[in-house]
Amino acid sequence: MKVVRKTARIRSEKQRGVEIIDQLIKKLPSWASGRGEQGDILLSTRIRLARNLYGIPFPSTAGDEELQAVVEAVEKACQQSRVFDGAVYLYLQQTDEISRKVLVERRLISPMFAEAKHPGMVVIDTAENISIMVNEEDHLRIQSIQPGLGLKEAWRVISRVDDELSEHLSYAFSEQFGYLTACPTNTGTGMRASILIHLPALSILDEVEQIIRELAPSEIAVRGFYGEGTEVIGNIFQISNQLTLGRTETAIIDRLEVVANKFIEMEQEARERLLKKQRVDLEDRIYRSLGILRHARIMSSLELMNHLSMVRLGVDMGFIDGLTPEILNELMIFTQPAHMQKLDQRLEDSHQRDVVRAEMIRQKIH
Amino acid sequence: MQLEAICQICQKAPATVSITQVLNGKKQEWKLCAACAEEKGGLHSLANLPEFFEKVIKNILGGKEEAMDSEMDSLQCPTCHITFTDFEKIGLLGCPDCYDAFREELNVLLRRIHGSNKHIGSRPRPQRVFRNVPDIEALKRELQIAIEQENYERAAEYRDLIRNLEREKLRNDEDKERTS
Repeated sequence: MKVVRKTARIRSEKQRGVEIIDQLIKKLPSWASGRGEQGDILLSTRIRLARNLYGIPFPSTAGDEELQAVVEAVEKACQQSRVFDGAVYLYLQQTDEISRKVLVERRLISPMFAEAKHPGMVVIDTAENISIMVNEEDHLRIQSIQPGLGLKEAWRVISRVDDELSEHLSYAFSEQFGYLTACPTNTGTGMRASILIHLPALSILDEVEQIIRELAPSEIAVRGFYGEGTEVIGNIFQISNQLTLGRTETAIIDRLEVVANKFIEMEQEARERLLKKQRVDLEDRIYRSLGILRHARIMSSLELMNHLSMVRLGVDMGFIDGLTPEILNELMIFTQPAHMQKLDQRLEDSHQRDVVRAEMIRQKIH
Repeated sequence: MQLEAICQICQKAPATVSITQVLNGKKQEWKLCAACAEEKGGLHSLANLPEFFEKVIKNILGGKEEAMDSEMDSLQCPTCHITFTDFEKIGLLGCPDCYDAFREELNVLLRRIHGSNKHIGSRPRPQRVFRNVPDIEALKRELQIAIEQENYERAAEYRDLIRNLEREKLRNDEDKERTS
């Protein structure tokens, strides 16, 4: 009897996990609204905090029972916090491979966490502004994502969540080293602030690397779309702080904001230059991409990202009417492989997906 | 009399190189030995972290590699039992107590990575639920820090917490006296 009940419970939990993802993929995350300060160049802002609990080894060393205890402690703490009213709690064990990939595509979990076999959890608030990965490299990775350049807003939101959670969880904290993290590169504030920035003009002019090199002493790192160890696609770069110890959170944010504004200024200046010196070439690139998106019958996600970049540039510079950053973001998010596969299981075959993707694009861009 | 400068990183070899580093708008001058200076020069190439750690750590401790490896093998965290050699290989510590077990080595390593080994950022709030009897002295220290940081909102929270605990303690003591 007991066994039957337990099996039924696991099945219903799995069902719940599937339902949560089904709900999630129907809507656009609020950070992709296309609004927000400098929203045309700066797609989104993210801040994450790494936190660990006292008396429990870090996830790479801890046993399953200990990690399960972390999951339960965090769930209990979140339930006592008002920020997480209506939030969903998704256990890794009840999440299939495709659902995990959907979470990666929505930037709610890291590619590394999607591979995890041990007990873990993702907590997501209703607007997808705040989420927590439980038992990734650290016990807690709390993140706040905002549209546009929203570093101060992201910090306001996340520090409130962090404060609330710290009232209910014993954070591993040392007077000297600050928040103790599994990797010493995160020790101190445990904070990584990052921006996703679209730099098509600088990419066309092949000037991104040079700027990065010039800004290298500013303690920043440049990465790909999905974070650490991922490729730059569609001219979208992720720029983040490198150092976490010996500076305050606000100093880190201010520093990154200076760097972000510098990139925005350089990109705008590069766009002006293209307009003045290579107007026809620029128009040709933009309208070619628009034409391909309007008429193609087969479209891979990588090819889409490259054309979207040019079309986005065309929208920003006033060449293309009738399209908004929001529509482009919708295309960018909903046509990712796992999103499509989740909506229609028949789309397991990538060629089949490319055909349907081209259809989806034609419905939005016509 | 002027003393001969010792390398600020390894604390062993005489400092022969002076490096000025500008981090976060603050100028810092390092007096280093040749080996540490070379390492410091490669500060921003953090791409291959484990490899970077290994090199840094070997450099910190200097001397013969074999002797060092066995020494590092015996350096072990009493709580999670990972050795410093394990950490070198995977680039991850095993538990919060590793920070005490490898304090000396981490002090150097953190200074290398971040240009600092002292946290000056935010702190966790006082916990509402105490598992053990709260240590009033520790709370008073927290209060002092909050005042120094001009975080008056938090300072007020500590003040109230301490006041309540002291009142409670007084009541308990009185109860004890009455019953004895």
